[in-house]
Amino acid sequence: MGSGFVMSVESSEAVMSTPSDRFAAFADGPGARLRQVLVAQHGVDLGVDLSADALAYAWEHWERIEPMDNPVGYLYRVARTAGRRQRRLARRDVFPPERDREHPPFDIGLHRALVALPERRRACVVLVHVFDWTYAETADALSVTVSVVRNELHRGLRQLRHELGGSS
Amino acid sequence: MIELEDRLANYRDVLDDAIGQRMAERRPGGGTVVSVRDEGELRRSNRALVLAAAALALVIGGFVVGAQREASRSEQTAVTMRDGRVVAFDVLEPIPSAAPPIPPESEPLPAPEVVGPAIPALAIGDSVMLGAAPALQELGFAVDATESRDFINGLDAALTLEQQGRLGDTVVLHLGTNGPIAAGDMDRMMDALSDVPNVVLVLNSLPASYTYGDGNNALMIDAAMTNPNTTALYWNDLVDTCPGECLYDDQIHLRPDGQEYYAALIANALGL
Repeated sequence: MGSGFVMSVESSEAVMSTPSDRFAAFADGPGARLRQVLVAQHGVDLGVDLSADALAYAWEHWERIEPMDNPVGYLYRVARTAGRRQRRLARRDVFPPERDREHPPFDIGLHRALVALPERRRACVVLVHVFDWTYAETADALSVTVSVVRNELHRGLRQLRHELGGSS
Repeated sequence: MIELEDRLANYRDVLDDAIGQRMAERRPGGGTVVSVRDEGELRRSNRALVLAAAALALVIGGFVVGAQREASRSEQTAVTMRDGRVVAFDVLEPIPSAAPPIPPESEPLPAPEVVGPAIPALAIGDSVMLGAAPALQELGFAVDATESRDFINGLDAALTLEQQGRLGDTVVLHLGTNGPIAAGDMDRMMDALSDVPNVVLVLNSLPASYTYGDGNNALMIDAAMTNPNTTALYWNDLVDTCPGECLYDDQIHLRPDGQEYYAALIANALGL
């Protein structure tokens, strides 16, 4: 992985001296993007929970994690391990808002179509078309190649158009 | 008619709103579990610091959940803030142990079907492990090892035991001798073993003509690096330090000296 995640950490290191400063910058930048990946894959509630736990883990192990070439990639995998455990034990698969959200207006048709996508395909679609990530950033975050992202996007959009019928 | 791409772009507001709600739900409310002590004036003009504090509040929220679920733990996490940033943060527990299952709100979890007793220490392998089965049994392992076993067959065994609720605290895997391991199968294996506290993956030690050996080992090393409950045992390196006559002529299977050394390395990896 060599995209904005790592660069953000390096730039933070250049201007901030204390561990708490650097961790705060990490939580604000790469940590927020980690949250987007986990939300794209696991839904809002579980994705936010996993990212919070991952950041807590990062802070406790900051001395070991900060020098890593790809701390976000490591935390992403740690979070996914926890996610598999939680999802299986809780017998639930959540995406994206599990409860009614009053604001803004909720596109229920799109929501249902996204729910029906396989996890990785949904993550590619959400990261690129909802969160406006580049193909390379998405590939890095998901530990896949750009061609995989491209294929998943192609299939995902085709599936969404099929599910949504003439509405789009 | 709205294009799909536009609907997806508009969906960001939905997700951001939902994320914000969830983060707000996770923030401490009454201070019964988390206390935030200001040591100076909180200046919120710096957006980055405020957002960082919010992110840390999110972190703290995770501990609220964890602490509330485990009453025997400390009832308080102290966070010291100065000038809008966290300068001290006493955490309760890391993610591997701080990721308790979230019980569904409306219905209890079904109890797993248990068809036999849990196996405290399990070793799953192929013919290499099979040679060391007696030595592993002396260490207390239940050994499930057979000749010509592919990774997928070992995966089936692990999945079956996991579904039966019979996996215990320790699982040792030595597979891959008989063919390449698929990345997806490795993911499924680690998924099946994600609740096992101690997992040891024994790396393949194969002659160079077994071209898949390096790929198998790379997968296992990656799995060990990304799963906190998992350790890689570098059998491929350590076999060279085995005292005595350790391997048969095929340079794969274990002579008695190798069997003892192999079991001793596993015991050492697990702190037995």
